[in-house]
Amino acid sequence: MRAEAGVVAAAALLALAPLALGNPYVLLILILANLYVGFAASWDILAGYAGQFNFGQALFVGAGAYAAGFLAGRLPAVLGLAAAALVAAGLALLIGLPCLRLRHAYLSLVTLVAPLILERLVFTFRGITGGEYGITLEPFAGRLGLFYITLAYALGTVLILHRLGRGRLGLTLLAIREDDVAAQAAGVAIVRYKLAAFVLCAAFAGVGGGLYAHALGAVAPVAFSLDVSFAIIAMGAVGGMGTIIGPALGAYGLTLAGESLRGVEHARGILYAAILLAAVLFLPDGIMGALAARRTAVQATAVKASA
Amino acid sequence: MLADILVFGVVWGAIYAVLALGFSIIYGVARILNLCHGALYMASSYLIYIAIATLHWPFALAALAALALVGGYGMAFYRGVVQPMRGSHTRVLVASAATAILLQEIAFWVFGPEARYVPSVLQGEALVGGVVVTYQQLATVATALIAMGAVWLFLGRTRAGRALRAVAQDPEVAALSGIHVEGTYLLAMGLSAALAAVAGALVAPFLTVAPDMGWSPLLTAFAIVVLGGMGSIGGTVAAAFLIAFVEMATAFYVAPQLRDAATFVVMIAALTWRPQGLFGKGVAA
Repeated sequence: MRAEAGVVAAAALLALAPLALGNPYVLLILILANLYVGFAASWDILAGYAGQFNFGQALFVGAGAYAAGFLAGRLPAVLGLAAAALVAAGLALLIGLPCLRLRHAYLSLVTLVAPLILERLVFTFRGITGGEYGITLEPFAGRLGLFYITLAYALGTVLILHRLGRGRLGLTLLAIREDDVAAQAAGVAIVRYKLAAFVLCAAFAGVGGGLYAHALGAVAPVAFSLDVSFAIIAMGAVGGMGTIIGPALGAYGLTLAGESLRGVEHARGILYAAILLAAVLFLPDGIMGALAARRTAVQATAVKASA
Repeated sequence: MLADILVFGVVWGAIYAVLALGFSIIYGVARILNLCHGALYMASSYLIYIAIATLHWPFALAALAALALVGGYGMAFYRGVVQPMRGSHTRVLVASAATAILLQEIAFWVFGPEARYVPSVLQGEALVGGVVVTYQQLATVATALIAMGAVWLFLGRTRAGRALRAVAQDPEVAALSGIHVEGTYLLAMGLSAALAAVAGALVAPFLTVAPDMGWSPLLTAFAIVVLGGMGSIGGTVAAAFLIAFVEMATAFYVAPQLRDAATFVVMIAALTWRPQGLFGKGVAA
């Protein structure tokens, strides 16, 4: 509850940001940060809660972006975004059905390479996709409008997934992550739950991908690139997996940090990879985990002092 | 066309077998799914490029140096990164992926995105059963066969190799019989990385060397291991040739850039219908 109130308060503060910052370039960066909040939070519902490490969130971002890009100008934007969610969810089912039935890290490897395959397909069928030039589209709103829409998307994604994470779905997923045999023995349909988490993860990222296309006014094959997937993973790992809010914080922090490095060739890639490696080595539970550990430590000393 | 598919299929099958064998060994022995296997292969190609283009070493020396450096790097990676987090498969997985990206971005940074070339070592061609085959291709297949034979002898005939197989079957019982399990993991990682380096050395004279060249071989290695069954050497080699022929047939009859897509489809099909592999003994469902 308190965490959700904090999220709403942060979003309200962000909503005031355009009043202070008139610069359209800064506004675009904030739009991207909002979108990455959605990507990282939706990634977390599968990776953090279900413990199924998805290396290719860019697959859903890219698929959503292309779906919305195709339909822009042909259908109302809302339908385009719905299609983006559907296409992404369909891909998740296609990959999840064979992979999530199995134990081991099959899903990780398949999601790692699936976006690369799709990127290759984009280049092969350039008649439809525009190849490396991609598709240009007319955004359905101005930049300020898009800022508020993406902010609403980020807020909605975080609140919904956080609520689901604390509810029956999240608890069941955590049980599967901790001990899938025990969960299955307790009568949990583990494959169905993991699939549900994967589809949710994909659908939210797909909508974000659609908004991404509108925010940039274009879709290009880079939407499928490893950089996008790894940026999202780094955000999740740094923020703290299995908390939804942690990855959202990580998304804002790393988007701004990465943006300050724009222009320095490949510095961003190195930064994200190094941050990810450092987080896995030294901060396995992320910032949120470290905060929680400190809180428990403080409480423990308080209890000891009062006793 | 059919002859081309046959020749290229055999050449690529041999290269893939070496690559997938390394990927399969570290998974089979230590249960580490090493996502930087492809990046090690890429690093080996670049090391050979540096040794030949700037130091003017002969190819064999360059390849041996790359083998030693990449193998040593694999062991250092195990000691420095993997060992401290052995308790969590996910952390190991993420760390290996982050390392892969790091290596790739460093290669981008140092060499730029443009491809580099390592000159062919052997010139000329021979006629094998009515099909034109270059000496380079013959040497590649021969080297791959020698590398696989050496691994096979090592695993079957040496004490360390038997220890490796024992740990793969059951680390606890192996430890009880006096095998130093951590040392065996270290050895397996070194061997696996060295095999990635051999594969990198084999492709360097054929392909352009580029920072992102490691990803599609990683997919291929994984598809091979899924298809051949985890921990089965014979299955891995057979699946490597099978995948290579599928890829070459796709490249020649459909479109060259759809090679990976074909591999991906085969892998998904294998995961759906035969997750234990064509030759494997079951990997749990």
